[in-house]
Amino acid sequence: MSKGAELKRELLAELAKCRACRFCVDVCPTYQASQGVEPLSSFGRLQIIRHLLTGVLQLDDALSYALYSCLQCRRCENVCQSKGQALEICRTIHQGRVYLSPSYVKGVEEVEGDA
Amino acid sequence: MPRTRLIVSQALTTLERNLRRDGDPLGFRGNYWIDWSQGLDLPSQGPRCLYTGRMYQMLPYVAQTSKLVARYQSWLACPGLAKLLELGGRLAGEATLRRLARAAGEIEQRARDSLRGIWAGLCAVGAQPAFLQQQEPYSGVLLYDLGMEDAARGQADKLGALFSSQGFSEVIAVDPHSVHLLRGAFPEALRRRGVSIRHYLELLAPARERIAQRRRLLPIQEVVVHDSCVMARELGLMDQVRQVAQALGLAVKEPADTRENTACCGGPIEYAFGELSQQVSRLRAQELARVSEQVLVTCPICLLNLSPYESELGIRVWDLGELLHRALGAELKPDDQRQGNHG
Repeated sequence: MSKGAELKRELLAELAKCRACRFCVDVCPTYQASQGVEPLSSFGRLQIIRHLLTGVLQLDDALSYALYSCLQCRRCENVCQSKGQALEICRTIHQGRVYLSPSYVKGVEEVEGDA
Repeated sequence: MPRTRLIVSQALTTLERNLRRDGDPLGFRGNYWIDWSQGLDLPSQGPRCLYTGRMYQMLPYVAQTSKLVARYQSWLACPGLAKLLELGGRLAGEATLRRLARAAGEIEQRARDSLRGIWAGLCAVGAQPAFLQQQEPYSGVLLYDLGMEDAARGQADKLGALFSSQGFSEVIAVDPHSVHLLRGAFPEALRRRGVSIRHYLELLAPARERIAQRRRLLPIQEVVVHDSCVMARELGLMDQVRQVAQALGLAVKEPADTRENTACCGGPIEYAFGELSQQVSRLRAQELARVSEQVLVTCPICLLNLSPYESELGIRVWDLGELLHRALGAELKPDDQRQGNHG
């Protein structure tokens, strides 16, 4: 299995643990700062990664903004643990970036051409 | 939000190119990184090594470029302009970067004082480390934060090899991000070479009595502590900052969101998402201002992101290093340094 495929498998396994309780949404600083835009919350970002990996969504500017604007502050994980779960939410979002970032490191024209 | 893919791509590509070309994410060269240590007689050898990770020194440049990015974000997304800027930066080199940094003179002075204060604190507790001067490399924190894990791992490995080849068994870092990178994210880079890493507060807190004995009076009596996310949730360093603040004679106050539940300063996304970052940092600064006018931070990124609200909210944001500089720096004599060498 390739490194990318292995990472994708691990990400989907971690994402499957989420019970969608949404308790992590309210404590996310970017969700608070955006006055309630759910894709800018930890739960919203997990859903974006899941749908990108499964091909439901295609990466665009709005989804890139949501993924790369995560502060990686791990405040959401405190709440997740207190509710009896233990998802590594920020680690999962970070790994989502690890999966996607190498494709960003290329010429500006190439990225522009993809738009 | 428009053209976010292009902005992220430019940030990642520029970082990667600069690091490959100059060994530095911002493309700085020369003596800029060690200006803070002028006048201090820093040893180059010893069992332990101070590691700045260039985080404090970057502050003046980051402060200016963040303003530019926020102002010209839509222009920066234009491929032609981005190419022109990159070429201009390469031609102008360090002179342009230094001119940008000079415009942020106050934050430069604070960053300098912070590093000198951390140095003074380590000397005061008898733990004076060596310093690699111009050999000191960048840590790779930005690469790691942006998901460039292979590049960040490679940089961590280079660090481990350098510290090991210079005979150091312990590295003392001044910022939490570098500690997390080398202790949490890529621990093998140092561990397999028999090198350990500690945050400077892990040396100061256990010996805080020596700080209390030597300190001078500070111009403030109390502080509200802002825990950095990395310090609190990654490294578990929360008591230490409070203990050292108390040793400096300060009463410690707590905001509503504190310790493990601390709220972020907004800094990690400032490179590309200035507006959202500022909304996050404003919320946190307002929360802190409700408790005290004197805010204490222990991370250069927190210092950079909370200090812009000083005039508006009537607060003063202090890095712990600045307070150490005021309390101990003026007393730092050659005798103290020599004593520290044998501590």
